[in-house]
Formats: sequence, C-alpha cells, structure tokens
Amino acid sequence: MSDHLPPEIVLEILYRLPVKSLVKFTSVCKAWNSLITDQTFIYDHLNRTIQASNGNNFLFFHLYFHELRGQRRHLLMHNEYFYSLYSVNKQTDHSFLERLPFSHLFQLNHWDVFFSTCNGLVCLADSYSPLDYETILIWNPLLRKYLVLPKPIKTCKERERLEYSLCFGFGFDSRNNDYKLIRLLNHWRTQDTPHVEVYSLVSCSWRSITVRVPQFCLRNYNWSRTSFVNNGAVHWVVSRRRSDGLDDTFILSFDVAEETFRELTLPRQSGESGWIHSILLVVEGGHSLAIVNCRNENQQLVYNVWVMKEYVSPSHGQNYSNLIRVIMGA
Amino acid sequence: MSSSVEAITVLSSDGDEFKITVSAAKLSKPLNWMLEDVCFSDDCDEVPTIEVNSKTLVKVIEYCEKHAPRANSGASDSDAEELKKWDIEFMKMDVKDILFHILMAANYLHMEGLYDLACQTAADLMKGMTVSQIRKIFHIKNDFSSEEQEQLRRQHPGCSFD
Repeated sequence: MSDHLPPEIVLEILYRLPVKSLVKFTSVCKAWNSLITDQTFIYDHLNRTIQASNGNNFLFFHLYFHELRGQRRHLLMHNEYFYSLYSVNKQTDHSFLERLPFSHLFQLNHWDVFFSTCNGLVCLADSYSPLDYETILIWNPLLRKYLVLPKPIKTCKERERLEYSLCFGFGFDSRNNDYKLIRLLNHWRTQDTPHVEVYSLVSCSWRSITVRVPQFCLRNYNWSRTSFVNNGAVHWVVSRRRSDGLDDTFILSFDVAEETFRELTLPRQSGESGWIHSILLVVEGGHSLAIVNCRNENQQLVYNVWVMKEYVSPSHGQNYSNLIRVIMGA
Repeated sequence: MSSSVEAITVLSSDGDEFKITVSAAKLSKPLNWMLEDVCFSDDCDEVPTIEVNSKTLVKVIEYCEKHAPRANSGASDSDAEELKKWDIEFMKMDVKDILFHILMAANYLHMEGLYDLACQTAADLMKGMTVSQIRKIFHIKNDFSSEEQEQLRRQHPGCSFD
C-alpha cells in the first residue's frame, strides 16, 4: 500500500479544514484549486461547519468603540474611533476581536447602522455616508475581504433623506446558493408601498422587485432597523397605524428564496400600551427566533425574552414561550 | 461460525499473523462479513488476509480492541470522556508514515469512527503546514506558473499563503 491518498479521502480531509487553510491550499496545485473553489464543495463545507459548530459560534458587533493611542494611557489623547467585530466560540472558549478595515466608509458618529450576519458573512449599511448614496457592504472577516455594493436603482436626494426610511435585510437563498440583500425604501408619512430592491451576490447587481408588501412603518428608528435571518427569512419589527390611532406591532418577514413578504405576530403582551421596543434575536443555532421586549410598567423597565415555539404556523399566529422576565429598578 | 470462538487470526499484507477478538472485529463491516462467511474454528486452516500492512494493522487492532466494549454495550459519559482522551493519545503519529495508512485502512475496512478520527487528525495537522509541506506529503507537483501564483495571492490580500 503506498501513501498516496485516493481523492475521496483527500476530499474528506479538506471538508474538515477551516476556511483560512482552504484559501491557502488553493495554491497547492490546479486540481486542489478547482476542488476547493467548486460551488458544491463550498456549500457542503459550509453546511458541515454549521452542523459541527452546533450553534456555539457567535458574532458580536461593537457599534461604537474607541482606542487610546500613545504611551500615557491616562491621558485621553488621540482617541480613534472604529467599528469592530467580536466573535466567540462557546465550545472552544476561543474569541477574537477584529477591527473593521473600512471605517472610513462610515461616519462613525451615530448609532444608526444596519448590521446583520449570515453564515459568517457580515453585512453593514449606513445611510449617512460619505458616498452620494448609502454605504452598503458585505464583509468576510475570515478572508479579510469586503465588497462595497454599487448604487441601488432608486435612491433619494440628500435633502429628502429625512422623509424616507431605509430598511435592510441580509440572508442566504439556499435554493439558488446566493446571498441577497433586501432594501426597502419607505416614505415616512404616506405609508405607501415601499420600493423593494434585491442585491444578489451571484449576479453582482441590484434589481427592483414588484411584490405585495404589507402596509407598515418602522416603529422605532434605531432598533427596528436591525433584522435577522432565520429559516431562510429576514425579519423586522414594524408597526401599522390603526383607525383608532393606536399602533399594531408585528414582525414583517421576507422569504429570501421566494422573495415574498409575510406577517408574523408578536407575543401578545408587546402590542399593549407601555411598549417601548422589541429586538429580534436568532437563537438555538439559527433555528429559532427570540424577541427581547422592553416595556415601561409603572416607571420600571421590564424586559421579557420570548422564544418562538414553532416558526411555521397557520393564520392563528405564532406561539411563544416566555423565557425570562427581568425588572430593572425604578 | 462456532460460538466458542473468541478471537480470530488474520494475515496482514506482509504475511504476518494477528489475533483480533470477535467483538473488536465487529467494528469493521468487511471483517464482520468474514466472521459470518468463513469458518474460524480450529479445524479450519484458512486464514483470511487483510490488505493492510503489519505496522498499520497493529494500530487498527489496538483501536478496535479499545473501542469494542463501548461499541457493544454503550458507555457512560465518563467512559466517553476517557475514550476521547485515549483517541487523542492514540492519534499522536507521523502523518505520512502511518496516519495516511490508517486513513486508507479505516476506509477499506469501513470503520466510520476511526476514519472520522483520522480525517480530523490529518486536517488538524495540515492546518499548521505550509503549501510546500502539503505538496511534499501529498506527492503533489506545483503546476502553477509564478504569474498564476502571484494572481492567487492578489485575490486574497488578507490571507497568508506561506
């Protein structure tokens, strides 16, 4: 028996290598290069990695961070602002802080940045941009590569910006092996049907889509703009003005493969008075959606964490279980 | 097969004889088939050959004997933890010299656990290797021109290629 490994065994080993090593080994020879850069290999490698990580990897995003420069640390001199990404692996207890290489494309003086991750890719968007349209980019922190997306089809002029709200979503279309960014341009007051565009990473272009969008407006400017991927869909917490003047709050979801919108109900409590804001989180290794709900009850801040029990549900609404309830002192 | 048989004798590709207990042999599908098909009683003088060299077969049998009790009866968490530690020690071996042979033997003998362990060990060792070290152990000739090589590096400026 020689020590030449047959190709099927080589492939099995490659599946177990981290992305950084795989990129390095594309330069071993042409055969390995085409094997590693093959779409099917990339997809299978991703799936195996997700399965192996078993929901133990986390990405955190520091919106606002500063570094002190110079020898004399007690003097607050030369503050430098930058965004950073913090990732944690619960299983191996390994964590690292990665400084974002493109802070110059953001204004860095406000909190209003869209941020979403999907399969280790990071998508960021900032409407206050040095460009003549919003800065939108997709970043691969492992390969240290980022892509600044081209100008969307419909943009608003600088002076009109306050009249419009922008809403982004980033997700993976497993049917077409494609990453998509969804952008909704919505007029604040009119509650007209928003203009919807989809950017595909495979085709490298924007396209407007005509699709039925439930009437909505973003309830809270800062928090609602964040959306997350779960079961192939992107989610936002939005609201709708009722005829009696009160707001109905619900989850708007967008199926990344189908390119259709749906409405999901929030836990009953959150729609009542005293509501402040809701944040969506993906839990259980991306299989379930959780809602962190903060409300004001008798001058006390009450946080509730709800987990969606079953994602696919008929028109009766989603089922939630209350995980934690925390009351912050008056 | 006689039920009184507790161990069987097999030949390595080098012609050496090895004893393996029946419960350990059951970890391999082909060996299991052999157990059912071939007569292993004392009056049967046919000794089956396994196409694995002696050096590798010693290790494979060692693995089988260690894992057989757990595979046959199930084990507690502490046993599983102990076995995991044993696996790590067991896999401390030279890649080219023996690990690749173990990989091929595990593949040939349909031993899922050992195959998975050996693949992961190989991957962990390769992580720290340079491209030229990889070419050496896999007997690969570099078929890239220096321009092509440079182009690959340019595609991923943030990645190390050494």
